[in-house]
Amino acid sequence: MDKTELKSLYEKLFQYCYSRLSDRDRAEDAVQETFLRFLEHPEYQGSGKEQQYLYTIARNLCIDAYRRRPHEELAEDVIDESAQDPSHPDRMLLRAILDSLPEDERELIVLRYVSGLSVREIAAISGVSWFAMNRRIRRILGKMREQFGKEESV
Amino acid sequence: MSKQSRNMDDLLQELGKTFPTPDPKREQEFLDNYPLNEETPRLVPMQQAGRRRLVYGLPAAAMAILMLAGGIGVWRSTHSRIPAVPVETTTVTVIETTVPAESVLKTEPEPSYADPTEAVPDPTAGTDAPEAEHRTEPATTGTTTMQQIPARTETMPTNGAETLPEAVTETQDAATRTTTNTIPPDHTKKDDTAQSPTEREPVVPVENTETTAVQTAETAATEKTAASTVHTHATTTAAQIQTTAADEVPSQTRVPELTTDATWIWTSTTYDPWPWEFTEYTSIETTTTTITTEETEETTDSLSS
Repeated sequence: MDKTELKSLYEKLFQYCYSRLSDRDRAEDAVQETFLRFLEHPEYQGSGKEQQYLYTIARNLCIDAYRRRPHEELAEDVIDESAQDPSHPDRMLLRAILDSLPEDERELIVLRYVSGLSVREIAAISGVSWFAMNRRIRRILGKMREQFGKEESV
Repeated sequence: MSKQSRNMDDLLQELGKTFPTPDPKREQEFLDNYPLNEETPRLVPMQQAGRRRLVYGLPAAAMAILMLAGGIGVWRSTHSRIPAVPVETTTVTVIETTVPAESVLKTEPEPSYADPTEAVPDPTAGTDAPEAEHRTEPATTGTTTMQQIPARTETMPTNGAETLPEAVTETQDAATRTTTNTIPPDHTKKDDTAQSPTEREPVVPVENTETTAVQTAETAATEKTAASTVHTHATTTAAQIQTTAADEVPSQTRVPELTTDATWIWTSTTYDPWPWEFTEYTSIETTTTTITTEETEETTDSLSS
């Protein structure tokens, strides 16, 4: 793993953690903590599944951080400034649809289209079969398309 | 809808742009401090691979060796050479030869009877005489009785029926002796019909009376019985009646009797076992010819008288 791969992986992990935590600082803390834990376990390195291990660690850390998260901060962080882009109304609409999805469905769409993981890798991270994950992602996409069509027609 | 889906797919690929990027300062600081050890990641898989080799390779090799040893043992146990035990073989050849009896060889007759298939008895003809004769006939010796001969001669349209008893008594003894010599007693007890001389009478046509008489004489000579007297009677009387009997006795009256005789032969073949069949047939033929001679003699006597 060189520096370029490391940097790309850092950014993707940050976006993933941000989608889960909706907080920049906490997301960065979770990403750095993920890399440190990855280094603590040398058996994870060089096995060809480093990305899967990193996302699994980040997911568990995000879950822990989300549990420790104060409830009063939730309303403030829901509003994401980066998602507010008037030049791309379709992108904003899609992001709004994504934010309206449940937590588990949003996580899968982020892992698939933001982090760029394959369905097999997502299935391995989530602990389900490839077939089940593929069906689940298709079902979520269908629901998003239907909602997107409705919003676009309005 | 397809445009919408395509637009949606494009938007999904650009979905990462809607998310914020990490703080560059913190990111750079972390990446600078992150220990990128180039050797460690390469050594780990090698160590793991070596560990895998030991973990999986040794048991696999041991199992392979065990299986190979077991296979060799099985092969040796199945292919071990057993010392050959000499086995004595004995070949027994049984040659079965059947020697016919002397009486059969001597008196093997020519098939003088008619083909059973040709003379099928008509059940509606009303000729129940053979059955009646069977009942009245003595079963043990096969001799011709006084009651049977007139019954036979009644059916014949000859004119010598009144002078019958004298000729009958003379030829009857010869017939009795001949029949007794040839027919085995056991067989005669089995089948009554085999001893009915009157049935077999029509086997020989009247025109061939002389020839039949000669045959009868020869048979009687071989059997060394009293048939020699029959021979002399037959040769003399047959020549006398050759012209008269052939004209007087119509062949039509004897046809049913022929059929009766044929039927009898058929039934005897059916009921009797094989060893007895041939002998029985011979005896029947002998008896038949004898009785025919008797009749001829009777007719001749009646004519001469």
